[in-house]
Amino acid sequence: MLTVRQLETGYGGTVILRGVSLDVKPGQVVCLLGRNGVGKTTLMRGIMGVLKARKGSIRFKDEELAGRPPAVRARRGIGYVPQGREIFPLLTVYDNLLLGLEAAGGRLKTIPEEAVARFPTLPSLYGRRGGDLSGGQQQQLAFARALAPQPDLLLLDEPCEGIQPSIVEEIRAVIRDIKREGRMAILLAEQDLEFVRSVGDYFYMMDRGMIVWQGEAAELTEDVVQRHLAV
Amino acid sequence: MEVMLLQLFNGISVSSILLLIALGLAVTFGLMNVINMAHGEMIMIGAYAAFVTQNIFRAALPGEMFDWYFALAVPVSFLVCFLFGLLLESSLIRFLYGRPLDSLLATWGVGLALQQAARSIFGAPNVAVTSPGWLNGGWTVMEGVVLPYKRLFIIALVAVVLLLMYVYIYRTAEGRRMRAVMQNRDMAACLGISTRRVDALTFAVGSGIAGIAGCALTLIGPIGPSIGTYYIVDAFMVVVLGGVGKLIGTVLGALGIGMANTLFEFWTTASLGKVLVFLAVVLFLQWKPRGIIAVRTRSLDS
Repeated sequence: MLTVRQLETGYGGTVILRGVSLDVKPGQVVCLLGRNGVGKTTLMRGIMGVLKARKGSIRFKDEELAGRPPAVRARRGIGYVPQGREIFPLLTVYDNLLLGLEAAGGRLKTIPEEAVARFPTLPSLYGRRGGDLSGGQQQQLAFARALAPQPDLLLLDEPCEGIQPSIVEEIRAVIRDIKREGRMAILLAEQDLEFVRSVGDYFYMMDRGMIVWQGEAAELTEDVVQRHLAV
Repeated sequence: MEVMLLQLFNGISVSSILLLIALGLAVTFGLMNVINMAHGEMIMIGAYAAFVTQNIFRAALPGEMFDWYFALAVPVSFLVCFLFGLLLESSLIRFLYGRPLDSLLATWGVGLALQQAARSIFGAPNVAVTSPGWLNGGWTVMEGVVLPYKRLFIIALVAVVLLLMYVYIYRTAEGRRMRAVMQNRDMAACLGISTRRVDALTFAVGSGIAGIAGCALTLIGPIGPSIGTYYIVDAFMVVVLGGVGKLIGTVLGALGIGMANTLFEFWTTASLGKVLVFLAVVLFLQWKPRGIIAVRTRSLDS
């Protein structure tokens, strides 16, 4: 479904990603591992189109997206929960959710039940401003906002970073739900090894802007972890 | 008593005119951060659009219809400037986002070109627009206190424009997209919003509102190719004093400057009053550099 080949991108004159290739198949939960600063977020931003690709290709559902702006990628069915959540601070929670529907391009007029049903506390916050929510509440909102247009692929960038344990459990349950339903694929960047092991189907390990290891859960041995993740 | 009432009314009247000329700039400069020096020329275009509407009515329609030209002139001015804004944004401004100095110079140049174009088409001397009959005269509140209908009409027009802007920005899907793009451009794009379209539309709306201001200015005096240059400084002063990014700030900025202007001019002389207002604004901005209403968001901080 998503095929990234030899992607090169970066900020200004600095190249961060140096030829990254990866695949996400329909319904699969693919995890991206690596220490801080190895380029996980840069890869997410590159796939979403916030950072322009210098070289390489990003194919999604048999369409080349490498030259297209982020809005087009969102409309083709890529949902994005960025690092830091990026909630619109001065807009209400409800407005934030409605903006999630933009990617549906008029196909949806109201927020689908299932997007919100996974986060039962959200409706009670509808009138509050996004910037006034706690980190955990913002993360729930960012999830619901990304799920609202019913994307085919969800990009999750460190969804558990700085979040209280109860909401981490909620996010784990949501990812498992999505996986069980099998309609949506997920690309998850995360440092918490225990968390990714509990949800992931396939794993990529990044270091210094490149994929240095890939494999399935059984192959993710202590040795591999020691080599690429230990500080 | 009469003097007090009249000064109060004058203050509100001046404020309403200031507000009307600043509202469009509150969108293009306040929301989009484009230092739009051609804003005054958008006002000028709106004024000439009203002038042309008047001439068409005079030439083509029976005399008794003439009084109603102004009802049509307001939407015509908006539409003409809206289209001008759309053209300007898509041909020039969009290449200059995030480059304030370049956009300042470029829009200033556009302003000069538009002034010269107006001179070529309509001639250098000022032209007069005849106010419709129903706006002549005034409302006698009491002995010695007459409020001119024209001034009352402008106050009402400002109120209507403000209300429509509020509804557009805070109650429509288009406005929601606009606020999202202004607060976090990258994330808005990642949700599927075409930021190009939102930018073009927002700039066009700001220009259209400047057009309405130009239309209203035909009620208080003759208009000429350089009419915009008289108002551009005031418009920027109102928006900067009010605080960039919020409508209510622009309203308070206009009220502050309008009232202060009237009072200082009443206590001193016309020119000294202007100087005192300017001093007061400078001092206020030394104390509060972000203006009366300061919006703190990451998108504005960075």
